[in-house]
Amino acid sequence: MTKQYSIGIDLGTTNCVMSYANLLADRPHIELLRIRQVTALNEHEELEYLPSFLYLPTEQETEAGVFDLPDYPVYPTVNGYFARQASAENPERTIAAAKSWLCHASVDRHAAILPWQAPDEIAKISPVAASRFLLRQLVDSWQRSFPTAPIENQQVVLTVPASFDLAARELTREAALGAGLPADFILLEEPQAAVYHWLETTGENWRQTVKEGDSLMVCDVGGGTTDLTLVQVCSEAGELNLRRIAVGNHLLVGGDNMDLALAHLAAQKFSQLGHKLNAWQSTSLWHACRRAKESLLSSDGPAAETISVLGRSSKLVAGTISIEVDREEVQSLLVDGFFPFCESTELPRRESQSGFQEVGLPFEPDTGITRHVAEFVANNVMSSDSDLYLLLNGGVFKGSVLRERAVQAVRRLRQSESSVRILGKLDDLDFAVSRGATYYGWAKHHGGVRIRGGTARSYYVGIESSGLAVPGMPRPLQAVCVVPLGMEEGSEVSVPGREVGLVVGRAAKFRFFASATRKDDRPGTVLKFWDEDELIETSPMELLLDMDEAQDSSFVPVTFLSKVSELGVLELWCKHNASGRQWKLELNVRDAVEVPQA
Amino acid sequence: MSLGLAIRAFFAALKGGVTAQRIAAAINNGAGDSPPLASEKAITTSPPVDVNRNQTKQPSTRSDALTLLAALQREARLLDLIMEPIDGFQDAQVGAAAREVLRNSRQVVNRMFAVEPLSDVNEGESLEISPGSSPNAFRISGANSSGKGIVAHRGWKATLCEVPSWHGVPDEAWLLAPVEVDI
Repeated sequence: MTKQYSIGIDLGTTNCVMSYANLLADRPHIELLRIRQVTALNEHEELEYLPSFLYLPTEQETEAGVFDLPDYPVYPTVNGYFARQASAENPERTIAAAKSWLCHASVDRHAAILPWQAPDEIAKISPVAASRFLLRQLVDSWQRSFPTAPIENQQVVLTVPASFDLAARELTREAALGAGLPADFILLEEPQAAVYHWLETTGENWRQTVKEGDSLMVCDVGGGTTDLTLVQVCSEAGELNLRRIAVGNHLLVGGDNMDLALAHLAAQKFSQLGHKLNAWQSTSLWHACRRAKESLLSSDGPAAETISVLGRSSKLVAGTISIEVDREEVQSLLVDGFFPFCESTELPRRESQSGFQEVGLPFEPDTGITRHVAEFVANNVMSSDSDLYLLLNGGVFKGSVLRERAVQAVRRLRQSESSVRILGKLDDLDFAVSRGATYYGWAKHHGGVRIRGGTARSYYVGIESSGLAVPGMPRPLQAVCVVPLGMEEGSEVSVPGREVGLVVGRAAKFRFFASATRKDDRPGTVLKFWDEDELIETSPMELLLDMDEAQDSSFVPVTFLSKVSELGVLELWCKHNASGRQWKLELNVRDAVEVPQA
Repeated sequence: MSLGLAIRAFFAALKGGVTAQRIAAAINNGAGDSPPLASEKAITTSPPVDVNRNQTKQPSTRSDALTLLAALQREARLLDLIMEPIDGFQDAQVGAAAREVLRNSRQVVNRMFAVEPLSDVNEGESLEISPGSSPNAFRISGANSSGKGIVAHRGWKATLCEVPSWHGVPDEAWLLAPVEVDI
């Protein structure tokens, strides 16, 4: 069946956006799909985005049907706009940032744990289910808008953070398939989608803008996360091409942290005036602060902004209290706090700020985004005589002051005087990822430049080395590289090296590691020592051979075989060389990984 | 009630769709659009309606005007502002509250109506009015046959009309904001 549309879905930490383009047209004409969602009890609207919030309704609310969407199935959760509003008044019934939980290896992501720390009487759901419900609402919106072009027959591109590891990508895929996306949908990294958006808006002119050897650093600061990616302009057969050469770590710091920081400052000022804010007022303060931030951080912004919190009762004017924040305060709090100038050798501060750390989301202890950028730049040598372009994405960069500061801070990180410039326009920072994803799907059918790069990480299987066993000590662990960084889609590699024995009838479990920085390891490279920062342990890989598969032997010697499909799905196989038989290793994401707390 | 209306209602009901559901609601509930029958006192103590699952399953409608008013109160507190007597307050106090309410009201109005100036010509600049232009689009003051004038007000137009859809029970159609109770 011929596909009619390319559909790009940005499953964001704070907002989801869906756009589409007709594949039969000869130009990509990208439109946003308006998403029907509950905005209040008994009310619904179509909006250009779906806030990534879920509200768990009470039995009475479900019973009364106040959240039913006519012509839509009854969802177990209320998704989107209403849930975002409810997150303030009813935090124990609301799930925010479900996506960040997907890449949190210290918890079982199939277990019903959200809302985190909610009281027992609330029926919780798992991080995977939360993402599935959000996607389901997007899918249902599409089906109702395009009844003659069901989504299962379309080209769908779903974006994930570049920093998502294999397990997080697999879980996203599981949620997406469960929500009704077609089996051949493509996962695309968000920063790459931002680059595709730039390519789409620039057209063929991009080849005049950048030259061979130049680098593009995508700095995507969303509501809750920061994602870094480095793309290099290279020349192949006389044609300029793009190659993604590195991705940064998953950083849980973003625009919401800035709003919160400003809200703290404002709340202090209120308390100096003798006003203590309640929960309702705190939310309204948060919204007021977001607006004040955007206004004070624009280049022609006012010198000061009044932040008012309205009285809660119907005596609105009588109960309204106000404070003033000025440009300099906000500048030093947000610009210096989140985008400080730093030296190229500076590293993010790893120590956690409080004495104990909750098992909740591992928020980044160091909110200095530029220090994370410095570390990323230091890890990835860029040719010093070529230009570095910055592609800034995410709502945070609506404020021109932050954009300017980001460029200046990156300039300082570069030893040479070569230029650092901003690429791309300001037009739709909030929609760029989804539109870029749609363009990618369109270009896949019509031809167009593609960013190459393969896997964003190298992967390692942990194998106990045989040596003298010391009582009470685990055998030393070696990490064998099974997937090199940058392994391309549609390729497979046999891992050389000695064979590993699988015991029949007993699950073989392999510890599994990923690295975003070890670029030179080849398949079969054995590591005996490594830094904890360098190799990150992720969910283990498992395989169970039963008797009939093993053909009467109790022990099967195998080597590893890795494959990356055309759709970018990574698979690891065990191969019995004598018979040629292969078995696929499955990620075990049920058992939480013990992540050492900083 | 006229026979013509009865016949039209019959065919609309036969065709199904929203109109049919509205007719069904009107027949089942007496009158879908009448004011709530419950007394005012009842509203302050308990919800005036007997919440009945069968009833809620039928989408009923209320005037978009009420839904808009409820949305402006919910998201911008507009009703609170205009219903409060402001005689005793300093201008600065009124201003602080009004500023927030106005900003949020504008967000709601823009989201639902995407309001834009009607004329591309700025206020204070001159504009040529073509003969036969609609009096709804141009209000002309003064007598002058040249067809040329100075724009005193640019006018407004809605480029969208997306008031939320409401599907509550008919008796609740008149509620604009719930009683808020902390427990």
